Amino acid sequence: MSKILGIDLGTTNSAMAIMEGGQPKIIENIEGNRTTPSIVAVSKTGERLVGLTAKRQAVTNPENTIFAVKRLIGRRFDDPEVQRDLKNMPYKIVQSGDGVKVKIQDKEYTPQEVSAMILSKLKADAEAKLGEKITEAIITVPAYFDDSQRQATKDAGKIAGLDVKRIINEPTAAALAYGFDKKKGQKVVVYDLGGGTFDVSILEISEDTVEVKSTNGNTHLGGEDFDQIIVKWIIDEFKKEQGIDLSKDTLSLQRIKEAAEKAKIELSTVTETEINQPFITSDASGPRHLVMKMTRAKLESLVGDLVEQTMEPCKKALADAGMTINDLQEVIMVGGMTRMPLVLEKVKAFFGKEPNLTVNPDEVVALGAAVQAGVMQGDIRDVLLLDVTPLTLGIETLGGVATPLIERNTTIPTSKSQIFSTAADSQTSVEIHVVQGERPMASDNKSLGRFILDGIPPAPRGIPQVEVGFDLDANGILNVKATDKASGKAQHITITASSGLSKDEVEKMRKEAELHAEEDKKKKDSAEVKNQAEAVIFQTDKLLSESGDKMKPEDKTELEAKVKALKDVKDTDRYDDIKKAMDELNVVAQRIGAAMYEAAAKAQPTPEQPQATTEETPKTDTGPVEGEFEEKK
Amino acid sequence: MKDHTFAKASAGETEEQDELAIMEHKYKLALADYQNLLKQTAKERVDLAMYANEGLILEILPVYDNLKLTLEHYPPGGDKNWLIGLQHVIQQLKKVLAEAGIDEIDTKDKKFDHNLMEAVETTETEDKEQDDLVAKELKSGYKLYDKVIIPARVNVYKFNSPHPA
Repeated sequence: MSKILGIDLGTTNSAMAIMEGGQPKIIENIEGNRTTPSIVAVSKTGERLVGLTAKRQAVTNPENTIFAVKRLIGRRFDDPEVQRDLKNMPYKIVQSGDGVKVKIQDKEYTPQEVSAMILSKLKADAEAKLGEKITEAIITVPAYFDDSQRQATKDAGKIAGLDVKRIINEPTAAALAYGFDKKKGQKVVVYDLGGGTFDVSILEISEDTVEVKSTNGNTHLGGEDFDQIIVKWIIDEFKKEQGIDLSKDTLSLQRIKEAAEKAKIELSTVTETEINQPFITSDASGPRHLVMKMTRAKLESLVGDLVEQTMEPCKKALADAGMTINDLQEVIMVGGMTRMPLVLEKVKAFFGKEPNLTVNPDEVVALGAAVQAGVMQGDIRDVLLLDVTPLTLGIETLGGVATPLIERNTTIPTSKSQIFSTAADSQTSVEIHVVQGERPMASDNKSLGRFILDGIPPAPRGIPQVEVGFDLDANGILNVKATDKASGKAQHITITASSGLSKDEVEKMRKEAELHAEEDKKKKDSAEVKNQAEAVIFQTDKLLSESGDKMKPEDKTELEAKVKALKDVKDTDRYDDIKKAMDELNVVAQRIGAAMYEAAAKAQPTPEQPQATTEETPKTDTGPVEGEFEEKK
Repeated sequence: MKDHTFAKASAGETEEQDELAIMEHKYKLALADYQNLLKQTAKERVDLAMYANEGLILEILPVYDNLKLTLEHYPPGGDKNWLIGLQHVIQQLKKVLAEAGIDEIDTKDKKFDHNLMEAVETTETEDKEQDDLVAKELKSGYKLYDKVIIPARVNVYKFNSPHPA
């Protein structure tokens, strides 16, 4: 069964997405871009161009390059929007019956046929990317589109060889992308500020429908207007500083436009940026450079009016829906311009709610179309069965460290296992203490349960292999099993409370982890230093008892002194002193070890391999030993 | 175990067998999706390795462009040795970029190619032979291996037939 393609057929740019593994995913076009300009052209050689290639040649071929055809689709010729475009567009718009056609070279095309060319490219690129045929699609349209415009969009899909399963509203698609269709009885506002248009819609979500209660906006207000203001400011400032008007120089203007857009984007994350364009022009006195700083405050003062212009449509949309801001539960942001802090601030102040911006605002509509496609294919029913574990699950290991086995946000069902070992010589039992949470120390996390595995054959510490397996099923029930690989002895526990925390409790635990991150890291590092010190002491004592007689007396004395120094500090909280003592011991031990090798080499041609004296973490050939249990009495 | 397909199961068998057939179908769908995802991810990894430097290169190229601009603004009577030194520096950077897979798009005397170039302005010409040729390169374009990462910004000749005498 082939996939249904979700398509955001935009005025300036289009995007497409598909459901993959239960998640909507944007598909790149063959040029490797996540959006495709909604532009079609026929070149002088008769070649049909769609997307970026059409955009690149627009200046040389304006009469045969069709852009913003969405403004014409499904409209009558006498429509005011068509009449406006008739005067402004560089390509020919002609009357055809009551409707509209555009002229490309000698041929006339309906807006549906032009849109079909864009859809064909998206279809072909998706097929190339996915390696399978695409025959069905969901296409989004503005909420204010009437029946004629919706039907024309559907026809465009048909011409492109797509069976359009549904036409859905762009704000509805955005709500689907956020999963708000599951929030029955809620009212959501979608604030869409894109490259060239502004739309605001109020949605009501009921049992099985998402209804657009009202819509308003400005079809000629978008990011490009913001860029124009910044460009004008740069040109004016340069004229003030250097007395030269850059607006007439095409190359300078091109550079300034790009710099303006870059500055606008950067100022969404920093409060000041530098506009640096060396050799922007030259005159009799030599080269001139455009170097100026722009602060976020300055940008906001320049574009504040434009942002303010979006508030009136918001008021009207609320009034038309018969609602007040108190009736709304969520605010969704769509369109790249909504990343601007000033826009977010104004929207938050107006609606009194934190806007949702976590889904890429340039892609959210296409992603929502893919979600709808998934529902129609039955994918979403499966997705609903698949949950994620909200908090990390692990066990307590040596030093009280929480060692993770299943990370948070892992899709379930899932299984993970890891090999652990013992902390002391002849340790014959281990305690498995299962914990849940994000803090690095087990005592700061939630204890889910514990059990003991005994009957481990006595062996030096670090030698036994105990496999601990976590099996978390789709219902959140955790089965933990510990198996000693040598004896085959196993023990297990079933924990039903692994997903018993409420959403608030989960959030609380996550926030606490963030708050205490620095001090927790210190605690964990300190525990690990102590663990290392224990291991080094153990190894050195072993070396002294087994090979002390092979050392030079002065070396043995020095080594004994160093290991005593480490033993004296290892139980204190002076972690720097512990590290220092450990490093000093390692240096001496390595020197002595090298000397022993040398002596052994002189004594016989093929010396035996000596025991390593400074291993901090014992390793086996059969797998990693990540942590060690403390023996619990 | 008999291999039930979704179609067979829907031909009047028991509800339980229907459910089993549906589950088996979904399982296979999920497995197939997963395997396709693995293949896609493997391909993406290869692409990533090839184009991993693209982001950094895109930051460096405008600086390279500005360095080349300094040559155009060399004042007459200036220090020739200084100029030569700067040329060496630019050459060095060009070599580093080439080794990273960067190829500068050649526009000199070429026909406008929308795959490699972006027309920013046009210059009218009465010479038909010049129609659609690049009149001037305004900004360099670059390819990273086979991918155009920055199209060359050019001024293109546009033929305008001469007015009759």
